[in-house]
Parts: sequence; structure tokens; C-alpha cells
Amino acid sequence: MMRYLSLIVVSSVMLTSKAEGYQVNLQGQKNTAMGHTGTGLVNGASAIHFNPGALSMMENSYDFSAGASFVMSTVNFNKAGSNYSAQTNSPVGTPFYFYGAAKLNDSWAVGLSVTTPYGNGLSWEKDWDGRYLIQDITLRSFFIQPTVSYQINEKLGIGAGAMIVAGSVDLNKALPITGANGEASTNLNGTATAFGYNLGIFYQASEKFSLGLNYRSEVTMTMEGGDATFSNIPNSLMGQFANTTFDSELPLPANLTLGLGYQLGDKLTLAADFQYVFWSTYEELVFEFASETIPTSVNPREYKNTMIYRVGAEYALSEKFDIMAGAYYDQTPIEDHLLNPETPGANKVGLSCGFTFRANEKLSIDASMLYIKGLEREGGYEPANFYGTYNSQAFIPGIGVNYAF
Amino acid sequence: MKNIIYTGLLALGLFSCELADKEFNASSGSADFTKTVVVGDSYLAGYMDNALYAEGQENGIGGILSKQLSAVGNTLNKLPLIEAGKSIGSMQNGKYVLQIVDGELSPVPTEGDVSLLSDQSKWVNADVPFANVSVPGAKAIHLVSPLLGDPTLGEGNFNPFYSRYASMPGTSTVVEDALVNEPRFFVYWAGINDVLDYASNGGVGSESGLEPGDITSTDAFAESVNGAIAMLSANNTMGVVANIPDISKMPFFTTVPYNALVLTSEQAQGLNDYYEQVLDYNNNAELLGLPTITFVEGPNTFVIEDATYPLQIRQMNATEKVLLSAQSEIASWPAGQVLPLTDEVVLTDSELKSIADATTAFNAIIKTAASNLALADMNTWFNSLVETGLLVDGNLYTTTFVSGNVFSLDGLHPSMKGAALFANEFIKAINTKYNANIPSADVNNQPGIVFP
Repeated sequence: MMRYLSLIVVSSVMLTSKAEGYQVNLQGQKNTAMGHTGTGLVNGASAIHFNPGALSMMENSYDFSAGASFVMSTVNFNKAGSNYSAQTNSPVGTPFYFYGAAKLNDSWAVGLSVTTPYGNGLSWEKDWDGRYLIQDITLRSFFIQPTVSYQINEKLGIGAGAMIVAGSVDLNKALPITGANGEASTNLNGTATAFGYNLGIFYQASEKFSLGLNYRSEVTMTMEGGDATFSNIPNSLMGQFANTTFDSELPLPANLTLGLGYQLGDKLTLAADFQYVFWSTYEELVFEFASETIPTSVNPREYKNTMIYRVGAEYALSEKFDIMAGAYYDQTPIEDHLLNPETPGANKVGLSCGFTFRANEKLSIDASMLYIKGLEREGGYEPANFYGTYNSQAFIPGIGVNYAF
Repeated sequence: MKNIIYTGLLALGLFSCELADKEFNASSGSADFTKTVVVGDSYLAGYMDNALYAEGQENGIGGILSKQLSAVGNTLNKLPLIEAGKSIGSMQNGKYVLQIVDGELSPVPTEGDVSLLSDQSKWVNADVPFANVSVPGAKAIHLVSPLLGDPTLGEGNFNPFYSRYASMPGTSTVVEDALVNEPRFFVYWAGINDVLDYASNGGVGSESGLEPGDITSTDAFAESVNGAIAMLSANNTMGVVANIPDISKMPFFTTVPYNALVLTSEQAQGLNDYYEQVLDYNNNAELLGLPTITFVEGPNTFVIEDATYPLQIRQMNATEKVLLSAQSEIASWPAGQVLPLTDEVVLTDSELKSIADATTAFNAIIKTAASNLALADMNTWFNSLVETGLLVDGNLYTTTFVSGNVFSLDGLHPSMKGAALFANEFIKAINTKYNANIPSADVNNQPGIVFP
């Protein structure tokens, strides 16, 4: 397991935050195409993430699926009271997933997933006006989740997974000190591993109606001995800015999701998910430095719990094709006076569509397209007195492959 | 089938490809900024680091204001620029730069380009009119006097910073030169030097006079300010005027503490012996019922010259100010000796009171004169800047010398970032008075003080 883990970390994909806060809800192309629903559906191996309770209900003996999305996002900032504006030039994020599941017998199923449900990748220009708050940030997380699922009876399944999490953060910000080679800056870079769990229960209430409840626990990423390095410090100030290490902590919040599924006729499946995100755990971001000349940096966050409302539909067009569509509304956990260019959140509307193409009985290909619009938001980060209007949007095409038998 | 998918994707694409951009909605409100002139002293001229130089002029308060007002139609921004790469200060010095001297960061003057002022062939009088006619070192009383730029008065008796761009040196006045532009709006800020000239010379001048080093007499100040504003606001020209901040809170007066005389135990003992055996200071003090002086190892209160004091020298009060210029006086003491600070580098309590009283009187005059104009209350704003600093887009600006980023290396004039803070106070006042929407300057994007 550890070898696998290090391989993934080395591959170092860049994630771009696409749900609110620094959550990334792109854990299955089919789900994404349906507004990222699925907690109340029997939907193949992605149940490992969406609802381990539904895994034991899967139809095939073996189910493997893998996929990736390509997040192209832009944030626009117009400073309050000024004609200054800036736009992010963030690299394309590529969150991915892998699921493998096997049915051991009529009652038991096991599975393993690798997902990237939290991350952030945002690059402002190095010399932009908010550079003392943030220049760029890359937050990565990899969740590896071995899972077991048990079918209590034909209608009821339960499941549990252990989440093993590896994460890293890498951020740059400028310092208001000018030397012969321009402004100084600092880089904070650290890694962490942590653990959590994922519980699910699935109930097929009737032939047409199903529902599921999923709880993914909070994971606290504790960084110890991260590297704080300084660049471009003028010689005369070197003594005050020697490279040092830092400790910090970032919570990945818990999620409680209620999912509903309804079969309308032979061909149409409807789904709705209500995802409650326990963001209020994120009260502040603190960097404590080993060096005594660098004061502890305390950054209030005070996130609020949020609800995401999701609906989706799937229509069996032909033997070979299913088409999907969905929409969701994602509330921001960030208050107006703590709106920070590092995570410039907004209430977001997501619109998605996609298709499944069955090449043969075993192999299918899923494709999705998600458009996210961040509703225009005026606010600012009070502790830095940095105010303005943010607009954001993202185009996220995704492709996945599914092999089941 | 495929068509359905394509149609779906197309629909998504049409939703919005252009990211919304909430542009600033500039508006001139009830004022007309098309031809804006800037009239004042060192502060509006962009004099900083104790010199005039092109980058400072462009990034000074006046330069920034002309630039920001272009968003609401201002077409005038011509500055009497110093040649690129050159600089000249009031003591024939060049601009100060930060260097490490004896292991400590210190502002060090570069060599001044003296010929910019002394060689009339390098003057720019042919290029008039200038939109910014502010004159380094000028007092309010000077802006309406043709003598200010009269080179026939001989060196030291006129201000060559004005002569070099005056429309007619010796005949024209600064305010008249502003009016050549036929302005529709004006920025007028004068009066700081009417108290600062006295203060920066240690209060050796008169508390009410017209000579260099004096605090300007209240009558002359009122006449000059009222006259200048009357001329500038003729034809219903609108404008903004600023009052005088508490100059004694500028880093030039606050950087050297009153008790920064650090002595070794040998030095302290030596001084105690000298004060006892040679001056017999403490016996005399006791006879007169005055405080005695005992030096100790570590920080001591400075001893200063005070002609009004019965013993001629005394220790400072904690409320009195040591000027930044005391540092070079201290450096010039003969090796191993500790001398009283001279009157030129100290402001006593009574001198500080004269400065405060004059500032109050002058600000009352300015307020009355500006009653129909926008008034930037620099005095109130500067006090809050001194007390709490100003947090701007992630950086806390303070009045601490050099590191605070507000003041330039002379400790009296704002740096390029500091100038944007001052300029934004003007903009606030204009926006309020004329219901305008002028974009504020981006402070963090101004060039910073360069550390070695």
C-alpha cells in the first residue's frame, strides 16, 4: 500500500478546486454527468466513494473504473474602489479516480478506491495587487479507501471504508520588502498523512424507489516540519528571514449525504442528493514557525456548514448509449468578510451532461461535461482589508472507462 | 443520437463563455476634471528621499492624483520632470539611498546633480504650462510671491526649484502659472512648510515671522491662502484643499528616542566626574531647585542646550523630540566625547507647543477658505495612521521610519507607496464633496524603498 501511495504522490497531478471551499466533487464521470448524484443509486464501483452500502448491491462480480477530469477554471477579481482588475491563470487541474470492486459472494463485496476529493490549484499573477495574501496555491490530497460492504437482505446493504489520506500544500506569497532584484517572497511547502472513514447504508424501498445515506468523516491534515523558504530577501535583512520550518493543520470536512433514486419507466432514472458539508470545522489556518524571528501567522476562516442540492437523470437511449444530465446548487461556506483570494468562494451553479457508450458487454466509456458558474460575489478578507468583486467559472470535461464482468 | 449530445454540449457552451468583469464605474459627479492643476509644496511636487527626481515626481502625491483623475477626464498631467537618472535636493545633495553603514541600515545621500538648478540652460521654462506647479520647500506665503523664483536675488535668497520652470522667473507666481492652464479643477495643498521649516531646524527661528526657519505669521498665512484659493477658484473652478497634519509625528521627529544616549559604565563615570568636577552641575541645580543629572550605564536621557534654562543645559523631557538630523551631529562628536545636543536638532516642549498652536490656527484658516471646496482632513487621517497604521490589501503601512513603508528616507516626505495613501485621501474628499467616483490608487503596486 505504501509503495502505491508514494507512486501516486510522485505523479503529482494538480487539482483545481471546483466545489466550494477546497472540495473537489468529481468522483465518477457518470455521477458527474448526473449532477454528481449517486448516493441513492446502485451505480457500479463508484459506490465505494458515494455509498459503500450500495456496493454489495452491484450486479457484476467485478467492476473496475477509472477516469480523470480536466478542470479549466478562471477567477476574475475587480478591486473595490479602484479600476484594478486581475484574473487567475491557473494550470489545468486533473482530478482522477480509480475504483476496483469484487463481489465475494451473495452477501459480501470488497473494493478499493483512489480519489482526490479535496484540492485547490489557483495562480494569480506574481505581481498582482493581492500578492501579500497569495500568489499561488496548490493543495493536493489522495484518498485511498479499502472498503467492505455487506448485504443484509435483498433490500438493505451497509458498508464501511477506511480512508488513508496523503496530502500536500504548496503556496507562495510576496513580502512587502523590495531589494535590488524586486520583491521578496515566501514559499510554504508541507505534506501530511491522515486517516478517516466512510460509512454508508442503502435501501431499495421498492422496485422503483431507492435511497441511501452516506457519511464521510472529517480528516485533519496535520503538517509537521513543512519547509518555509524565502526568496529575494535583500542581504541587509537576511538575518531576519532565514529559511525555517512550520507546523500547520488543515481540516478536510465531513460530509453527510442523503441520496434518492427513482426509476421512471424502463429507461429513465432520476436521482437527487442532498450533501451536507461540515465546513464549520475550518475555523482558522495557523502557521507556526520554528524560527523565533517569524511570528505565528493566524488566518481566520470561520467557515459555515453548507448544503449542496443535486439532481440528475439518466436515459437509456439505446442498447449501447445512455445519456445523462444534471444540475446542482452549491453554497459557499465562506462569509462575505472572510472572502480570501486563496479560496475565492461563491455560491455556485453546476450544469452537467454526458453519456455512457457500451463498446461491448464488459467495457464502457463514460464522458461528462460540467460547467460551473460562480455567482458574482462582492466581499473581502477583513484581516487583510482586501475587498473586491469576484466572478468565476469552470469548464470541466471528463472521461472514464469502466470494465465489469 | 450524436446530435443530441452535441446539442447538449453546445447549450452548455452558450451558457456563458465570457467571464463577467465588474468594471469600475468612474464618474466625475458634479465636478469637471478635464483640466486639473496641482498647486503646492514638496508634498504635491513628489519631493522624496530628500530630493526631486523623475520617478518620485511621477509617483508623488500630485503625480498620482493627475493620473487617477485621468479616469474622469483629466487631460493635464505635465510635470516639470527632472532628467531621468538624476536628482537634486535642497542641500545640493542627491536622493538618499539605503546602505549598510557600520553594520546598520542607514539612508545615505547620493551626489546631487547641482547643475539642474544652478545652470539656467538646464531649466525647463520654455515648456510651460505645467499641470503640476508645486515647489519643493515652498511655504503658503511663497506661492503668491514673485520673489520665490527670482534668481537676481542671489543664491540662497530664491527657490531654484521654482525658477527652473517658472513662466517668468522673478515675475510670475506659482499660482499664476497654474492659472495659465485655464484649469477647471485644482488641487491645493500648502502650509506644511509654514510650520515644518521651523520644526526641522530645531525651532531656532521665530514663532511668528516671514524669514527662513520661522513659523509663518498667522496674518500672512491667512492672506496667502485666501488669496491663492480665491485666484484658483475664480470662474467657479472647483477644487480640493488639504489641511496640515501634526508634523511632529513624522519619523524625522520620532525615530531617535529622548533616551537614546547609550553609555558604557566608564563613559557614565567619566561624565559624572566631568559634570561634578568641571561644571559643578548638580550643586548649582540643587541651589536653584532644579533636577540633577546622573549618568548610568545603558540608555540615558540626552542633555540638550537650552538658552532659556538657568543652567544653559539640561536633560530632555520625555515629551520633547530629537530630530533625525541629530544622528549626524552625534556622529560628529570627537571620539569618546559626549556633548549636549544643540538647539538645531531638538524640539523642546515650548517649541512643540508653538508648532501645535500654529497648526491649529492655520487649519482653521484653511477650513474657512475651503468652505465651498472639498477639504481633505489630512490632520485627522494622519493621526489615525500614526496610531494604528493603515492596512491596505494585506500590508500594514505605518509611520515607522523606513520599515513602515509610508515615509521616504528623509523621514518627512512620503515614499511612493506612502504618496498613494495620501493621494487616496484627496480622492476620498473629492468623491464625497462632488459625488464623484474617482478610482483610488493601488498602493501596493507603487515602487517600494529598495533595501541593499
